[in-house]
Amino acid sequence: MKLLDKKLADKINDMISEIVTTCNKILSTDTKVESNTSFNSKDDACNRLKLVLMHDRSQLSPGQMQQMRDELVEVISKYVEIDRDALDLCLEAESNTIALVANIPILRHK
Amino acid sequence: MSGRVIVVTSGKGGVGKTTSTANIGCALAKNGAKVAMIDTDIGLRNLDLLMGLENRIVYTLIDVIEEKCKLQQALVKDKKNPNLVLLAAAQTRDKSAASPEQMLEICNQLKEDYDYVLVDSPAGIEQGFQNAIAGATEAIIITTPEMSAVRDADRIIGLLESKEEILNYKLVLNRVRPKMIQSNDMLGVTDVTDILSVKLLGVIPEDENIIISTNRGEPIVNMENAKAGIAYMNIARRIMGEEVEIPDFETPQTTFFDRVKKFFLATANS
Repeated sequence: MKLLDKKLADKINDMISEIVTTCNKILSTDTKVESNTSFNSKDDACNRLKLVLMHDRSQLSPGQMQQMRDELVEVISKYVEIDRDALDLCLEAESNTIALVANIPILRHK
Repeated sequence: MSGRVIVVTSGKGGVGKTTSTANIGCALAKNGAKVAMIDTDIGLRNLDLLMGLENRIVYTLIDVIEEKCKLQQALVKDKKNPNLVLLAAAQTRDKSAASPEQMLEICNQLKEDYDYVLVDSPAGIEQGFQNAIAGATEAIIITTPEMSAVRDADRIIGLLESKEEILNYKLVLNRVRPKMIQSNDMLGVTDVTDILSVKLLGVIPEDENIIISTNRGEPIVNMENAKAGIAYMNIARRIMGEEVEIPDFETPQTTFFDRVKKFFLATANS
């Protein structure tokens, strides 16, 4: 009997939740922007902003980053054989400082 | 007396520099301070309009610089508060009509007689901006929770940091829409302050009354119970050194249906 009560309570709970969301939807005066529940536009803005600000602050454009990457590959390749496509070069922010982080997978020593 | 010279700036245009200058100036004066506001947006002046003083401008900042009149003659008193004066920008010239040295001189003269000298900066980072910050020792950066405004604010912060006369700067986040923040579709207050790593001076909620107050040439702090007006009054009190809590615009308020749900759940579980 107790178990049945619990199930019933759960069912009522679900039903009410559904009614509440429907009602809130109908009554909401805002023009709701279709937002993807898993990834919303605020996170988009945050991530894009952080990236663009790192480039702004370091005064390095994406083009210059690419050039630096290419030149790095060339220099390092003189000494070790590296996976050119897997080389990862990026700017990372830590509180108030910006770091240039490179991850270079070595295939074998020359 | 030596007053504080505070520049109001943003980088991006249209985020509310002039509206903020008018309202913070008016709010400081309402709290009993003597306030002078300078519009440095030469060629595109608007602070006179927001204050409803456009018909009273006789002399401008440029007339003072070119010694066509005395500084005192160019100061226009506010309609309501005699402790609040405006030094308007010239409308027929451009930014090159003034130099940072001349602006510094005017700010230094004004701070002898006024507790606060608020300098309304033009948009951009060129000469107009350099003129505006020349005499300031403090800055208020206005931004909105939009990417372009935040990016430009970051640039302005960089420029202010390189000027050693600026002792401190704080952020005002303008045009905040709590509902959009709550549904994660707008940058929140902490998102912006974290990204810019800057101290917060205040948050102004989006308020349609701003348009009405501009239409009337009456700052919104003179309107009773307007959300934005209250926020500006609080900013003025914080500038004057009072501890005033910044309200939370990010946590959702419980709706009527939330309470109904809670009631039903309580009954079903009992």
